[in-house]
Amino acid sequence: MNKNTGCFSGKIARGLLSAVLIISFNVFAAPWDDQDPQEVEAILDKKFAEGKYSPKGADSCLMCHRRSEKVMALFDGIHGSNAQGSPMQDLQCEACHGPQGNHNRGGKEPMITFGADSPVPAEKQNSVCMSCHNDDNRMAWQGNHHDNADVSCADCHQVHTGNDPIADKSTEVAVCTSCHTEQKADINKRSAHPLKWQQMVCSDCHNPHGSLADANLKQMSVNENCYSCHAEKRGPKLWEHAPVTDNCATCHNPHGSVNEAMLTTKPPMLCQQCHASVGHTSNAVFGGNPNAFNAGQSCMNCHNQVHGSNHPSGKLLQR
Amino acid sequence: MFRFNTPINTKLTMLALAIGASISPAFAEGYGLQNANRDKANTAKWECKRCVVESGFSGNISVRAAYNDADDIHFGNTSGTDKDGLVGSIDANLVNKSDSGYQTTFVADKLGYYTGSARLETGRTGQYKIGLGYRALAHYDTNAALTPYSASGDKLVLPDNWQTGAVTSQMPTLYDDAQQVSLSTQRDRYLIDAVYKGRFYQADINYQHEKRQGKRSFSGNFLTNSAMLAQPIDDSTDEFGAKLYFNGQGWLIGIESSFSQYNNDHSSLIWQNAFTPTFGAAYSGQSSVAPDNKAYRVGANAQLSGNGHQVLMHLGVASFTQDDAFLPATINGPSPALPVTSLDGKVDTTDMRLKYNSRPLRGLNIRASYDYSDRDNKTALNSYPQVVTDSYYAGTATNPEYDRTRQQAKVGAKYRFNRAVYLDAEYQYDHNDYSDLDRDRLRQNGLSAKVNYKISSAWSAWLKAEFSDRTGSAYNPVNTTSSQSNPYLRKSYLADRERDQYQLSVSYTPESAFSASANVRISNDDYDDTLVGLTQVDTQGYDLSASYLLNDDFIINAYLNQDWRDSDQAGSSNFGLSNWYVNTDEKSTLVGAGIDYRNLLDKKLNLGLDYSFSDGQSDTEVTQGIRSPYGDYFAERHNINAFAKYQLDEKMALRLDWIFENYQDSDWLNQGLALDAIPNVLIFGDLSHDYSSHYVGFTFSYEL
Repeated sequence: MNKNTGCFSGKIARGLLSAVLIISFNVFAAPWDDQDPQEVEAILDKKFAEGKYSPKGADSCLMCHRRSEKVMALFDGIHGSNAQGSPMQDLQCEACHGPQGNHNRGGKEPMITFGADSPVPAEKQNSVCMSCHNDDNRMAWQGNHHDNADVSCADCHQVHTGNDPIADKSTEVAVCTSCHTEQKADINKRSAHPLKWQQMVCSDCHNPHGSLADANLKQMSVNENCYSCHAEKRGPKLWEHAPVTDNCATCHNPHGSVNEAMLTTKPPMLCQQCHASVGHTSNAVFGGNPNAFNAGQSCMNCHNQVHGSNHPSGKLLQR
Repeated sequence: MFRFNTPINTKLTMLALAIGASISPAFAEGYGLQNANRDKANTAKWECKRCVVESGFSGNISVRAAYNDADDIHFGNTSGTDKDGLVGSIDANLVNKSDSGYQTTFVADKLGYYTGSARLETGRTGQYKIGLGYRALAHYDTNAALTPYSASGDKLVLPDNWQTGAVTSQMPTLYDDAQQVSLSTQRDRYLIDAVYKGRFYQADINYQHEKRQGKRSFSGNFLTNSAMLAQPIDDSTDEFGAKLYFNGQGWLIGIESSFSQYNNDHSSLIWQNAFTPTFGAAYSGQSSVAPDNKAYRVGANAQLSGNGHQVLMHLGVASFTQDDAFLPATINGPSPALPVTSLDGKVDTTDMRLKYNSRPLRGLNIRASYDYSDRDNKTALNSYPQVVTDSYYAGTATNPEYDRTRQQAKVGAKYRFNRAVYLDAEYQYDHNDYSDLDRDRLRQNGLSAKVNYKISSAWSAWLKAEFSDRTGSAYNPVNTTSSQSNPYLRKSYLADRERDQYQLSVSYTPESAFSASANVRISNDDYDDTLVGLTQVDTQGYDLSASYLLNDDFIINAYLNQDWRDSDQAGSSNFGLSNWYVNTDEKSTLVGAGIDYRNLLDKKLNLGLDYSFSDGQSDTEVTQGIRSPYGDYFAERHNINAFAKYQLDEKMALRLDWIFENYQDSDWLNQGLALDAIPNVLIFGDLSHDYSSHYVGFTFSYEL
């Protein structure tokens, strides 16, 4: 059911840590791992500038690397296809891994590698990917949260596969929450958007490649993001509730809360953070004996239209 | 991807280069294809004979039959369906590739459950693609709500023999007439989209129709009497989007547009009064429901890059409209005349973004941005008669605008001292202008800094600190409220606030089997000018996680998260300084562990087991001379999620899934309360959950 369990092979559902371990045990141990990363980077810079590409392209590389299942899995996906824009239409393996140089003489000369264990800084790794993938979904990558935090494309994505695990919604949340641990706790709380069992995924609301909005939201504002699924709250309505028009997150934590309805605070306290007029809103609401203020729906027993009312007589959000 | 130039994109490329060159030289580092030195690349003999691109069908399809124990539908949030008993679903991941580059894929996940999805895509890889999709989402609240009302179109009606009472305990047939009703929401989305990639452009279109059905909690009231109602949900949303982008060396430019239309099958909610009307003839009430509405958006984006500089610009406008016919001011007796028959509501928004990134020195990245967002409510302002709760006339009121203009400026820099250490700092200024609120203006200054230190090849850590100070113009309580607001109140979202946040993260990822990470975070919100209202919020939290790879086939992991949120607020019952106080302490714990063991029994058996426990609780206490603690408020959940997959042969496999959930919660709003526990509020009764449910599924899968 929950594919977070049971997709050991090739999936990074255990989070990045596990994926890194599997990779380091089996696949990507490189002869230059013991070299000073700075030296490796300098060599790669030099090789890239020299541009000494192989005589036969991918065939040169596959002379040795064809025995690797991981390498050959490239041809299961678009990066190994002959499709328009694919690396195979251009410099083939060396489009991403850089010019071969003398790497074919024993395999000890460094090539550009990707992932958390690579000696290549994340920014340089990403420059390879972004040279083809600078499209509308990634145009705000530079300077976004993940870019600033040195997250490399290969930290989340796999290229040598027909199915990039992060594109599978059954593994996406686990990958994101392996770093975003506060949100991991939130989605397990009493009320939360249905991320725990992957009905929803993080990328339903966020663009991990950066966006023009706060928190890498896919829409231009918090409210427009919410309206993309909750269009019934969009209005405009005759009687708006001011904080609702301003920011849904004033009252809700969209990742989850110990309170019902993802509220940051329970009513009546939540309402009394802004309402202290002459009359009942100023009174302390005691616990214990149930009444219209501390039971049922609390303030919403009467003011049920907290998201705004389109009723002519709805100024008090009661209709 | 777009390396082919035309006269237009050549001009834009030149412009990008000119911008990059004119600002200053910058360190544009990287291994991007556009920087590749192709002088020595002789690709004429690159035949790629060893490239093995397989065509034909591949993938797998699975058929699942399961037993789902959904006595309490809340378990459906976990299992994916609220259907009790035998359930079936299909999973698929099928690909058909042709030698000529065409590819068709079909992916299905739990198709057959109320949370299933499927997608069919076909096209020529890298050139064009057409997709058809279905996605279902469901939320299950409770099937234990009790109500004497039954739904009939827009109406909620009481039984014919219903006898009203002045208070709930005087409704003689209440318990005989109360029936269980499920509160849940089901969404079904149907999607069609297409993308076409040219040599220097890309066009996307998409259309989505969503149908939503279910019931939600609502309340209908007359003066001081109220009844909880299961409001029917039957609505749909249609969304259409299109975008066109052009791309070249160092530039990207495009326009995006979207249109969304919301249609509510219900035009109002009418319910009978379960109470004896306090006065008058308030035998029925009518409430508005979410009105049909439309949203339009069009925007343009441009990105120019060159020589290590990048500029990103956005200009977008959106319009939100709504013109549903107004309901009468009351349905009890003659309704006062309305100034207009419908709102003809219109809110326009304008958004501008300007972002700049650069690397002026080796190791130094700088960024700056300016954001502008404006909300302009163009709805006509009129005086509307107010008949409060269909009961009495209370004069007229004018609708507010709530216009807002937000401007935000950020300047940030990241400096890398060496490969091990970098410092990232950012200053942020927020400026908000409002109308019709207690404050005309809010300003916030914020500063954040993060130090990242890769201590060794195994250890790394970072520390982040953020400070912000929010203040604004004079606080003048609005005079449009029905009753005057306490002059010492500072509404929490408009109040002065000092916020401190700190976070420390440490991770250990050696080239060995064990890895671990730990995070600690604390924050404090101090509403330093608030005497009545929210005065302070403190949060703390930490988490630990570890993973151990015993061998290539056996991994175990464990995690622990805990967080606390304590908030204080003050109130005043005498319209002066505070004389009562509320303290709310929330605590949440999440702990879990899991194992994955594969390639057992001659590489035929894979096993997995995950366990998690979450416990969230909240203690609320009100003090006004005496201490008044509230009742229980908690949610506690144990989950076991296990599977065993046995490979029958190369093609076929059997899988057993077991999900167990033990869930209990309590909410002092309804815990232990009978339908008539409150004299003037007819409630749904006790909505607490307490169940242990199982899901057991058998899946047969076939590999093509």
